[in-house]
Amino acid sequence: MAYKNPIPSLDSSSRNTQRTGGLSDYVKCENVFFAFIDVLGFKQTFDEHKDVKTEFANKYSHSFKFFSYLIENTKFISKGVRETECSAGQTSDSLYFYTKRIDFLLDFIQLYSYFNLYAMSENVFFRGGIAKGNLFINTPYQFYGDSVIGAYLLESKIAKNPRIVIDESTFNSLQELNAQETEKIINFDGSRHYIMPFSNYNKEKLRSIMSSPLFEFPRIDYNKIRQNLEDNRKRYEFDDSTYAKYGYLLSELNKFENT
Amino acid sequence: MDNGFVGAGILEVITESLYDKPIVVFREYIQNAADSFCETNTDRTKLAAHMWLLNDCLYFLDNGAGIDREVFQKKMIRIAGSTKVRGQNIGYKGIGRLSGLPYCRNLVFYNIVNYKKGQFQKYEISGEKYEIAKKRDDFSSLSFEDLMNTIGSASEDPDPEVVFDIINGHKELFEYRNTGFLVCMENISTVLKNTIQEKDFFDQLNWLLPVPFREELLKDNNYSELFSELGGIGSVQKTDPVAARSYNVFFDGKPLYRPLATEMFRTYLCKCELQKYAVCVYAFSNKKVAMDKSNPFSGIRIYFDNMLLCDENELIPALQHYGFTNHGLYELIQSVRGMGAVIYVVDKVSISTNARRTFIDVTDSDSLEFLQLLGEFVENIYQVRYALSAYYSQKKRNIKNDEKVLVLKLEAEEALKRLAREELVLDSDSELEHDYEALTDIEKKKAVKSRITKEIKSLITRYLTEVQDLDIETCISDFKKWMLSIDN
Repeated sequence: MAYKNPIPSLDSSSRNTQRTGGLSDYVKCENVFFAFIDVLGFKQTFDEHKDVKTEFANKYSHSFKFFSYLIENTKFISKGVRETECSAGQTSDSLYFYTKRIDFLLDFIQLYSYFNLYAMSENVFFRGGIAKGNLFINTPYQFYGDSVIGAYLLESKIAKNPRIVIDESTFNSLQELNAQETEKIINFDGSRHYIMPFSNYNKEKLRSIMSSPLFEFPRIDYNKIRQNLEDNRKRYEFDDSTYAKYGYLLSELNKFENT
Repeated sequence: MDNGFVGAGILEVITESLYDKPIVVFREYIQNAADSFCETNTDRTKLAAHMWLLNDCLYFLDNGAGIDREVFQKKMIRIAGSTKVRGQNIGYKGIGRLSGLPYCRNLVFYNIVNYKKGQFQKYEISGEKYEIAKKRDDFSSLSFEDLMNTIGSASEDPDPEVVFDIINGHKELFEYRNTGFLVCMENISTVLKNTIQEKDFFDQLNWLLPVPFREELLKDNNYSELFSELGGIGSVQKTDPVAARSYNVFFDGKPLYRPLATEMFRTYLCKCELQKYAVCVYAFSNKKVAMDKSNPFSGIRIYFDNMLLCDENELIPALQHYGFTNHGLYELIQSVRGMGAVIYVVDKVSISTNARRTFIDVTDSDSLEFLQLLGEFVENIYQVRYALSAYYSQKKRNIKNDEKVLVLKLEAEEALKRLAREELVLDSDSELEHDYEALTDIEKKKAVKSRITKEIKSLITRYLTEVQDLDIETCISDFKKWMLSIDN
């Protein structure tokens, strides 16, 4: 494919509208925040339930559908990717979201925090990473780049526990945008910043993110979350790594309930 | 030439006028090497030209086709008897080999007939003998051939050890090849030595010679497609219309590369076809078009066979001379130096270079059209410069006056998009003429005026090119007579 000239404008930053050529028409975007969120224990659960009916998978299906439902009704997704430069979706057992706008990222994090609570009440747990970097985009769901790799590594190598770890660039950008709000949802464990698994959510604030001010958010059942955590910890008492993960969440829940 | 008398004085013309800058020596001998590469069927990755300086001697060695043993001596003493074909090869007219003579005491050529068997041929031109010959009373009546027989000497069987001794450090050239050519400039002049010792000499060579792009450009996801299209090192095809055909060239063991790098590309890097004549690759910013001395990719460089022909210092005065720009010289130079462009001539049938290879040969409508396109390109840069300047200074000055800022913004964006077009075409009035019958009387007059003006401008340009004797007193009547004559 012949080289295509970029379309110049006064608003574009350095080379961020440049076409890359090659077999597909990937456009390079710089300074993109990419969130990669993976379901915990997905493979293990499927392996354990190979020979039985698939009811066990319903909880995942239900959680993914709820995530889609929430995301599609946000302002930053419903207006379309051209306008907001945001996109979200699901691939296999992972969720993703990316944006160039730090304010939309903060909105997403607040919404995700709520969603995560709901998912935990359904006994579905996530782990992820958010990184800032390049993203080469063809269609909204065809992409690759540093930001994806960074987010994936944060999820797979660094997060360890069921939490979303964010890289320093992203944290700094959030701080710059709104330090007060960031402090309410982001914590620091001595080496990494991460989204607190348990934090207060404000329905009014969440509604302001949605395209409809009348959007209804189901109530979160914290007792059910606690029950799920305790049951799982008991179940995986002899699986040291998995046991520790649920122990971590219980500890976070205790901290939250005591503040 | 094979027919007719060529006087000995031609050597002085060649050496003192055509090749008056030391750096051209490198261009000429590498051009000859590149031509010899075109005559082989070898994979170009195995072909190379090495240049090195040792003990005040400058050497040029290549592993190309060399010269046929039977015709070597004849070729050395003939002038312009080149078998190179205009349009197909880089150098032609067979005079480039003498470019080194003004810059050394002895100019020695070794034809490598069979490296492995140690078979060479030698032709040596003595600078000292040339100086003596020039003082002869009968010098002006000497033929070029006679002069060469006086100052030159040939050997069909030079001592191979002497040659091996010189090229010993470059044996790798002959691992897969058995022929080549060696030029030795013995005891080079101070002028040439000083040129080589200049701080930016290596960079000058990188910009000048037909060398490859840096590997980073061929691997970069953004640019690999573009720079691969322009050309790289690959298999040799005689009719290959590669714009930036390149060769492996080394100086003192260091490979040469075109000094383009990603950090030089400002906000945008674009490619534009100048109709059938050339392809242009250029970088510009959407913030301002202003000189940045730290960016070496500045100004306009025009390449012919990937060999530097000229830059904006030659181009812009030419545009003014031929009436393809109305702006001042320095403001245009400043404008183009606020961005960077490399223009590769690809149509060597329509476009040729002048004898000094410092500019295109402006002799016909094709070359004029090409110049006109270059003028259009320069005009687009000029417009972007001032549109951006107007927009940003207004924006800074007057935030309240949104409407004016918006208008300037639209103009600046329009200018940027115009500059980023993938093909440059000259504006035509065809659209206006199409609706001619629908125009008002005033509009018809404007359309007619525009057409006549354009035609007259083109005729004036042609007149000034074709006619040599110009008289300011009678120029108008002379021009009218000329127009009538071309109509007939």
